[in-house]
Amino acid sequence: MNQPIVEVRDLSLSFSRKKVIDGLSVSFPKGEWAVIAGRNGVGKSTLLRALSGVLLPDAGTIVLAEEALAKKIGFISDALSLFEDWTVERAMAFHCRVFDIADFDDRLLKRLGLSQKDRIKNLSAGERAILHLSLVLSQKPSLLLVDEVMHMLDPYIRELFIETLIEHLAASQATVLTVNHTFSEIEKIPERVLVMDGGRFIIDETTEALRVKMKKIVSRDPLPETLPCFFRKTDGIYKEYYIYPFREELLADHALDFQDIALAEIIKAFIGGGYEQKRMA
Amino acid sequence: MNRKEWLEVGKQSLYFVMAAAGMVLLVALMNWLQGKPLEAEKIIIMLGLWLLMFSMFLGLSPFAMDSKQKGMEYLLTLPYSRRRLLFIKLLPRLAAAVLFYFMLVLLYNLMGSDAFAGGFTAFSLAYFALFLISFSLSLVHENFIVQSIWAGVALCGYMALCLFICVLGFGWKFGMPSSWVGPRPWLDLNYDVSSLLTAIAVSFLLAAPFVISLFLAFKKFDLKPARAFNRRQLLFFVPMLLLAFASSLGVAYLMQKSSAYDESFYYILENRQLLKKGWPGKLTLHEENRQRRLDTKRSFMWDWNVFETPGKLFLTAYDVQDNSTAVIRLNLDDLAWDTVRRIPHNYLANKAFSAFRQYGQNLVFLQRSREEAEKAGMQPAVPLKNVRLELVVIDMNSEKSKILSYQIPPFPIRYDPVIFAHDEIDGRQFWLVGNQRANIIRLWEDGQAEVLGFSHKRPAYFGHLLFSHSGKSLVIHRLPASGRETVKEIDGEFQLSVFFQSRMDTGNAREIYGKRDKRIVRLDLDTLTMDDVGPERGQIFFISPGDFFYSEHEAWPSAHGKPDKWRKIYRLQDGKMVFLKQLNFHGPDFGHVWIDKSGITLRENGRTRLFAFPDLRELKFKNLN
Repeated sequence: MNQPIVEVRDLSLSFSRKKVIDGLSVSFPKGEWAVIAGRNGVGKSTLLRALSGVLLPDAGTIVLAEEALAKKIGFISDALSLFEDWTVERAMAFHCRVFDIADFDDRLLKRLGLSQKDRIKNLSAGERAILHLSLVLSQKPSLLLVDEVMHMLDPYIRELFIETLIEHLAASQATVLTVNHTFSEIEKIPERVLVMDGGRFIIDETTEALRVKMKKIVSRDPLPETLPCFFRKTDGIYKEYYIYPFREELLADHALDFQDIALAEIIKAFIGGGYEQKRMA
Repeated sequence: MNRKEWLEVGKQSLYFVMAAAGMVLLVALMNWLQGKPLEAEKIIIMLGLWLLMFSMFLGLSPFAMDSKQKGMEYLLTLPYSRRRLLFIKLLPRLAAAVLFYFMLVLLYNLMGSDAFAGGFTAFSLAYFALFLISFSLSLVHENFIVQSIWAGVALCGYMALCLFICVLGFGWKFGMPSSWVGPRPWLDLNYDVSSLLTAIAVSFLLAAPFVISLFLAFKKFDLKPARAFNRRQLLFFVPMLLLAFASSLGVAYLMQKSSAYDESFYYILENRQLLKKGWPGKLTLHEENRQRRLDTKRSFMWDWNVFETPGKLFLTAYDVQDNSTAVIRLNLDDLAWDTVRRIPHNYLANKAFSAFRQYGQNLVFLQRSREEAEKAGMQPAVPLKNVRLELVVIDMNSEKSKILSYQIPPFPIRYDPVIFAHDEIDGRQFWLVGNQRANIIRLWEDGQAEVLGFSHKRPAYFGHLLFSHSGKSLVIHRLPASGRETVKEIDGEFQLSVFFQSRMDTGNAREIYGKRDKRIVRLDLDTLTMDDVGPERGQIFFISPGDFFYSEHEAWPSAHGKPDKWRKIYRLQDGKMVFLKQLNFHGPDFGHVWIDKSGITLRENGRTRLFAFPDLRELKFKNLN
C-alpha cells in the first residue's frame, strides 16, 4: 500500500453541543479516489472541511504528508465559496498570486464560454463549480477534496467536471476524496467507498469488495432471521432485502436469488439502513 | 492577499475622506449662508469625531467584507497560518488608522488651538483604543450592527476602567481623594508628563487583553458559529483583563507617586523675598537664609495671581473642596491669612488667571449675575449669554468690596469679557472690558455701560489711549467723556502681548512694544509713530506700569520636541533692545522663563533659579531646590 497522504487519528468535532465527528480514524493513500457517502448531516462535509483546514478539530490530529502542504490541497466546498463581488479575472489573478501558480489553465472556462469580466455572483452554480475546479486544479493539488457539488450541475457540466477530475487523477497521482449522493456517473471510478454515520465510518471497503459483499434479494416472503439483512424496502407486494455482509456459504444454506447490485444502489441501501436504524433507536 | 487588504482599506479610506470633505464643505456652506466665519476648532472637533467612527469601522471591518461576499470559507483555505492571516488583516488597517491620525495632528497643528491640547491627548488615546477594541471584536458576531453595539459597550467599559484608574492616579499624585479630581488634570495632560505617561500606559495595558485574546483565540478560528469563538476569546480575555487591571493600578501608583506634584508658582516680591505656592494650599516664603511655611490645610489650587500692597499679599486660588475661587489675604509679617471673598465657580465670568486685575489699591473682577450663574452647568469658560454683568471692586487696604451692576448691550459674536484697563476722566472712574472679536465696553463707576466699538484682536490701553484692531490695521483712539475719537490708524498686523498681565496700571507708559509682521516694533505714545526694533524671535513681556522686556529664543517659532539651549533677555527701551542676560538651559527638559514685576524666574529640570531686577542679579535662597 502507498504511503498515506493524509492520516486522521481520533478526530472529534462538534458544533455547539452536537458532536458531528466522534473519534474518527482513517487514512488515505496517495493516488486513491475515495467516495464518502452517508445520510444528510452525518459529518461528510465537516470531515472535508476539517481536512482542508477550514474547520479545526476539537480533538485528534490530521497528519498531512509533505506533498500535501496547504498550497497542494484543493478544496471545492458545497458552498462554492469565493469573493462574490470579484470578477472571474480577479479571482484567477488572486488565486495564482496566493498559490504561486505560474500557468493557469483556463481551458475549462473557455469551453463554457465564461467571460473573465463576469462577476462571480452572476455565474450559475455549474459555472461556479467549473471555475472552482479550474482554480484548484491549477494548484496541481496532491489532495483534492470535492464536496457534493455534482447534483447542482447540468448533465453536460457534470460530465465535463468528472472527465476533468479523471484526467487530473491520471496525470498527477493525486488523492481525490469526494462526497457524493449520486453515483450513476461515477459508478466505475472510485476505488474505495466509505459510509459515515454517527460521526464515524460504518463502512470502509474497496469498491470491488463492497460489490461482492452486498447482495439484494427480491421476495414476497419474509427472509429467514439467520440472513444478515441490512435494509429492507417494500415495492408493491414484493420486498427488497439488502444483505450485508454476504458470504459464499449463504448460497448453499438458502435457496434464494442473491442479486448483484450497482454501487449507487449499494450506497442507497446503506443510507436507507442508517435512517432505519436511527428510527428504531 | 496583502494587496487585497490594502486595496480594500484604500477604498474604505477614500470613502471616508470624501465623506469628511463633504461634511466640511456642508458646514462651510451653512456658515457662509449664516454669514459666520468658519471656525477651525469646530472643523477639527468634527473631523475628530468622524475619525473616531472611522477607527471603529476600520477595526470592525477585517472580516465583514469577506463574510458579506460569502468568501470566508475560501479565505480559510488559503495557504496562510491563522496568525499570518490576522496580521495581514491588521496591518493595512493599523496603517490607515495611524495615517489618518497624523493627518489630524497635522491639521490640528496648523489650525487648532493649544487650549484643546489636553482634550486632543485624551482623544488620541480613545482613538487608538477604539481601533484596537473594535479589531478585537471583529468576529464577535456576523452582523455588523451587532458588532458595532458590542464595540460601543466594550469601549464604554474600557473607558470607565481607564478613567477610574487614571483618576485614582491623579488622586495619589495630588494627595487628595479622587472625588476631588476635577477636569483640570485632563486638560493639563499634555503638560503633566507623569500623568500623560500613566494615561498612555493604562490605556494600552487595558487595551492589550482585547487584542491578545483575539490573537490567541484566532489560532483556532474556523467556520463554527461565532458563539464558540467568543467563548474561547472570553476564556483568554477575562484573566488577562484582571491581570491588566492589577498592572494598571500598579503602574499608575508607581508613576504618579514617584513624580510628586510640583506645579509650584514662584513670585519674587518687591522686597526680594520669594513666594512659593504649592499644592495643596501650601505657601513658603523664602528669605535669603530662612524660610517660613504656611499650610492653609485647604485644598487650594493656586492661580498665577499675586497682588502686592504694603505688608500684604492677595492671592487667588481654586478651592477644590467647594468648587469656588477664593481671594486670600496673606500678612507678610506673621503669615496670617484669611479669605477675603469666595466666588462660586459658576459666578466667575472668566478663568481666574485672566479674571482678576489690580489697579492701584483695588482688586477687580467680573462676575455673572445670579440669574445666569445659577443656570445648570455654568462654568467660567462658558461664554456669557445674558448681558447682565457685575464688577466687584475689592479695596485691598480696607478689604471691603463693592459690587457695580451693569446692563451690557447685546454682542455681535461672543462675549468672554476680560478687564484690560482702568482710568478716570474728570474724577469719574471707568474700567475697559473686551476680548478678541468682541465689543469693547466701558464700565463707568456710576453703573453706566458704554460700547466703544468692535475689535478683531485683543484691545489694549496705554497712556490714556485705546488700541483696537479693525482686522486690517491697528486703530488708536482717545477716550473723551463719551464715545471715542480715532487718532490714528496704522496698517498691518499688530499684536500686544499684555492681555494676560494681572497688574495693569499703564498710565505712565510713554512707549509700547509689540509685534507687527514678524518684527518687533515700538510705538511712541507722544508722536504715535512706529519704529522698527528688530526681528521677532521670541516673546515680549509687559511689566506695569510701563516696562517692556523681550525674551529671545534660540529657535523661533519653537521647534517641536527640541528644547532651546538658551534664552536672551533684553529690556526694550527708547526703541532699542538692551541686552540684560543670557539664560542657558542644560536639557533634557524644556526650560521655562517667566518675567514678572520684580524679576525673572527660570525653571529647568525641576530646579528654579531667580534673577531680580534691575541688574538681574541671581537671588539665592536656602533650601529652595
